[in-house]
Amino acid sequence: MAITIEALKLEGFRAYLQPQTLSLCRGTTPLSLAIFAPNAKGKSSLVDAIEYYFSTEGTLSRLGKRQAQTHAGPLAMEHVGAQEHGVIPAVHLWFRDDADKFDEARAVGTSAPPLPAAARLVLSSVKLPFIIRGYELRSFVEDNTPENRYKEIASWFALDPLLTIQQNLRTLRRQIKKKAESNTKETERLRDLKLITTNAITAWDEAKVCRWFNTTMLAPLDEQVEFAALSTEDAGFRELTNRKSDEDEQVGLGPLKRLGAHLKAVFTDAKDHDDEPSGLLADFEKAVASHEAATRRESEERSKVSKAVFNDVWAAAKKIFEATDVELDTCPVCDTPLKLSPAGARANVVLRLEAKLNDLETYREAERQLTRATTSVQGIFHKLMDALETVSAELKEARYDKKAKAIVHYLDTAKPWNVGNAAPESQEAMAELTELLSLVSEETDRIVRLQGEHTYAKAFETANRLIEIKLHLSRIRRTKTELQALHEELNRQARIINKAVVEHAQYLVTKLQKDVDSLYKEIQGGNVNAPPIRLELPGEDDVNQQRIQLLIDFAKNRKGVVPSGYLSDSQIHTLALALRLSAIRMFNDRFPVVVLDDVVTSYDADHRKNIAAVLAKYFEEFQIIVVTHDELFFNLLQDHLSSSRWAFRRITKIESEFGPSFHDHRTPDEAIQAKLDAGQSAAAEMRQAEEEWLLDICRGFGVKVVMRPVDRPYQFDRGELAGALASFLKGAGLLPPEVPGISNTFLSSLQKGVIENFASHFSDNPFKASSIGDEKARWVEFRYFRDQFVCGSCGKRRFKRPSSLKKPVCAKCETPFSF
Amino acid sequence: MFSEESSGEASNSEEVITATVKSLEDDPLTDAALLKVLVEHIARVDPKDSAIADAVRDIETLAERRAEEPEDGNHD
Repeated sequence: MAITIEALKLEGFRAYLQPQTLSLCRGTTPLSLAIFAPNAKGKSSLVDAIEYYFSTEGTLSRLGKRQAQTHAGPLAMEHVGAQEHGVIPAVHLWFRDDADKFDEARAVGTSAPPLPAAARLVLSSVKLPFIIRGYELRSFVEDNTPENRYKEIASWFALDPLLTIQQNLRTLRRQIKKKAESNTKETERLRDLKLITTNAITAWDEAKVCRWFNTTMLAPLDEQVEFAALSTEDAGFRELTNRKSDEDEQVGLGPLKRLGAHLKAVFTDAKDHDDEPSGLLADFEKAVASHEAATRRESEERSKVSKAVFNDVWAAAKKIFEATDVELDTCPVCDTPLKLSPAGARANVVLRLEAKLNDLETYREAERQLTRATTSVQGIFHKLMDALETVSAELKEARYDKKAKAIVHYLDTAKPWNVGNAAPESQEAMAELTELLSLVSEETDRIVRLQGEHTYAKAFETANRLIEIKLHLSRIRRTKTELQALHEELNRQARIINKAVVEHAQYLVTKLQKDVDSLYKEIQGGNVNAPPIRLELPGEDDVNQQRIQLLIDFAKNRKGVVPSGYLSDSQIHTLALALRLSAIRMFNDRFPVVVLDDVVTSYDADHRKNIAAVLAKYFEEFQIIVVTHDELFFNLLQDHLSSSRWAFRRITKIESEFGPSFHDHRTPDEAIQAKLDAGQSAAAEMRQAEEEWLLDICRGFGVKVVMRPVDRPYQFDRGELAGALASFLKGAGLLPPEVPGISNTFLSSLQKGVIENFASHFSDNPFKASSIGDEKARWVEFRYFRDQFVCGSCGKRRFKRPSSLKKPVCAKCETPFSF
Repeated sequence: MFSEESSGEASNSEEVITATVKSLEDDPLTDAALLKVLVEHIARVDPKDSAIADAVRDIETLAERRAEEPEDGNHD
C-alpha cells in the first residue's frame, strides 16, 4: 500500500500563469516523469510547486518566510502577472492511496496558507525529504556536523524518542553528579557552627566542639559539669537539663514560660494582613461559623425534601417504572393513564423519581455535614473552656489577674454556651490576651537579661543547637554518600541503556551504509576501486555518543578519512546523491516518490548514464519526477527507462502571458471559443494554437526547415513554419483549397511563404488594432484551413512521411494524403 | 545480562527500551528503586517536560530515605 501522485496543477505559480495540469498516471498506474528544458524555461517551478505544497511554513526554503535582505519571501512564488490577469495562484495535487483517491489545492499567498489536509496525510507517511536539488546535495557531506548528521539520520530511523532518552540521561547524570558533589548544605551548617563558636571552630570535629562547649559554656557555670559527647543521652546533657529547669524555677522563668505558652494556645493575633489569628478561641469562632453554615444548608435541603417520607415509595416506584418487562400504561396507584399524567410518559416519570431521590441524597449529605460540624464545635468549645480555666488560674498566680477582667468575663459568658448559639463576644478578651502575651514576653526577656551571659538556659540552648548541627551534618553526609552511590549506579544503568540505543542505531545505520555503498559504486560505474563508505557511530567510551561520522577508506594508509579532503567534486556529489537516494528508498516506502531537480550538473556522460541506469535498476517501484536542463541526460533517461512507466516531456518555450509550453502542449479550441464568446481577445491563444498545429503538421509531413540560429535553437516561429509548409505543399503538388469569398492573409501568406506580423494582419489597416470581429473571422478561417488536413480514408489527422516518399501518408492507415 | 541482539535488531524505539529495561530488571546487580525512577521519568518514549527535574527530585528523596535507614546493606 503506497501513496502516489496522480496529477499536479499549477496556476499563477512562479513561471506558470495560466492553469496547466501534468498527469502522473496512466489509468491506475503511477507514471514517472522526466522533463527537459533549457535554463529559465520554468522547469524548476514544477519542483518548487511540489516543495511549496508540502511546506509546513508555506514557502520555499530558498525564499524564506518573509522578505528580507537575503530572502525574497513568499511573494516571489506568485506569477507577476497573476493579479493583472485575474488568476488566483494555487498548486493542486491529486493522490492515489491504493483504491482511494484524494486531492486538495493550496492557495499561494504571503500569509502562509495552511498546510492542506492532503499534504498532512502524505507527510505523515514520509520520514525524510523526497525532493533532491542538485545545488543542495553537497551540504550533507560537507557542511553537516557529525551531531547534525546524527540528528537527521536519527529522525529518518524514527530514533527521536531514543535520542531524547540519551539527552535526558546525560542531563540527569550531570545534575545528580553535581548534587552528590555539592557542599552547599554542609557549608551552611558549618557557617552556623562558626557563628555559635564565634569562629573558634570552622570544621566539624566533635571532640573539639565538646571541648569548646565545656570550656566556654559550662566551665563558667560549674567546672564539674562536662559533656563527653554531643548527645541528649550524654550524662553532661542530662545534668545541664536539670540545672536549667532548676534555674528557671528559681528566677521565675518557669511559670512565665508556661503562662506564655498557654496564652498562645488560647489566642495569637495575626502578625500581618496575610496572616490569620490562631489558637483555640479563633478555632472556636470558625467552628461556630461553620456550624451555622451547615445548619442553614441542612435547613434548605430539608425544605426541598419535605416529602422525604415518600423516599421508600419513590425508590420502590422507580424500580417498577424502570422494569422493562412490566407493562405499564397507567399509574399503579391512581390508575391515571401515564400519557395524561403531568410527566406525560413512563420515561419522564423515571426521570422525575430520579431527581427526587437525588434531592434526598443531597439532603443526607447536608445532614452528615451538620453532624460533623456539631461534633467539631463541641470538641473545640470544651478544649477552649479548659484552656481558659488554666490560663485564669496561672494569671492569678502570676498576679496578672487584674489585667485579665475581659478574659474572666468571656469565660463566665461562654460557659453556658450551647451548640446552635452564637459565639460570645470576644473582641475585648482577644485584645487582653494579646496584651498579656506581650507583657509575659517582656517580663521573660527582662529576667533573661538580668541573668547575664552565663546561664544554664543559654548553655542548654547552645547545646541543643550544636546537637542539631551534628545531626544535620551527619544526615547530609550520609545522604551525600547515598547520592554518590546512586550516581555510580545511574552511570551504570545509563551506560547499558545508551549501549542499547547505539547498537540499535548501528544496526540500522549499517543497513543504510550497505545501500549507500552499492549506489555510490553503481553511479561511479561499478568501479571496484571506489572507496568504501562508512557511517560511523562513536566508540563505546566516547563521551558524546550522538554523532555520526561520514568517512571513507581512501587508501591503505588513509582509512576512515573525511571525504571532502580526498574525493573530487563529482565524487562528493555522488556520495551525497547515493546517501539521499538510499535513505529515501529505505524509509519512504509509504510514499515512494523522488523528485530530482538538476542533479547531474557536475557529471560527465558516463556518470549521467550510470544515474539513468541506477534509477532503472533500483527505483522501479518508485514514482520519480526528474527535471533537467541537460539534454544528454534526458536522452539517456529515455533510453534506459521503460516507456510504459515513464513520460518524457520537453518544455519548448515560455511566454509571459501563458507560462511554459510543453512540446506536446495543445491549446484547446474550447478555450479560444469561450474567450471569443465572452467578448474577450483570444489573439495570443489563437497564435499559440496556430503554431502548435503548424509544428505538428510540419513534423508529420517531414517539412524541411532552416536550421535555427544558435541563440534560438529550440523555437521555430509561426511564419517560419508556415513558409516551410507552403514550400513543401507547393513542391509536392498539394494545393490547399481556397476559402470561398474570404481574403485570408494567413492562408495566402502560408501559400506564399511570407512571414507574418501577428496582431496587425487581422485588419486591413496594419496600424489599426484588431477587433474581436476580426479575431472571430480569423478563428473560423484557421479551423476551416486546419480541417482540410485530414485523412480521406480514416479521418485521422496524424501523418508521417518516410524519407522514400515524396508525399505524406496517414500515420494510421498509410493512405497517401491529398486535399 | 544485557542482550545485544534483542535491542540491536528491535523494530522500534519502544521495543529497544522495553528490552533494555527488562534486561536491567533481570540483573541482580541492578538497583531496582533507581531503575523504577528511570523508567517512570526518563527511559520512556513519552517523557514529560519536567522529566529531569522529577527524576532528580525522586533520586534525592531516595538518597535521603536511605540515609535515614539503618545500614543493613540491602536496598529495596
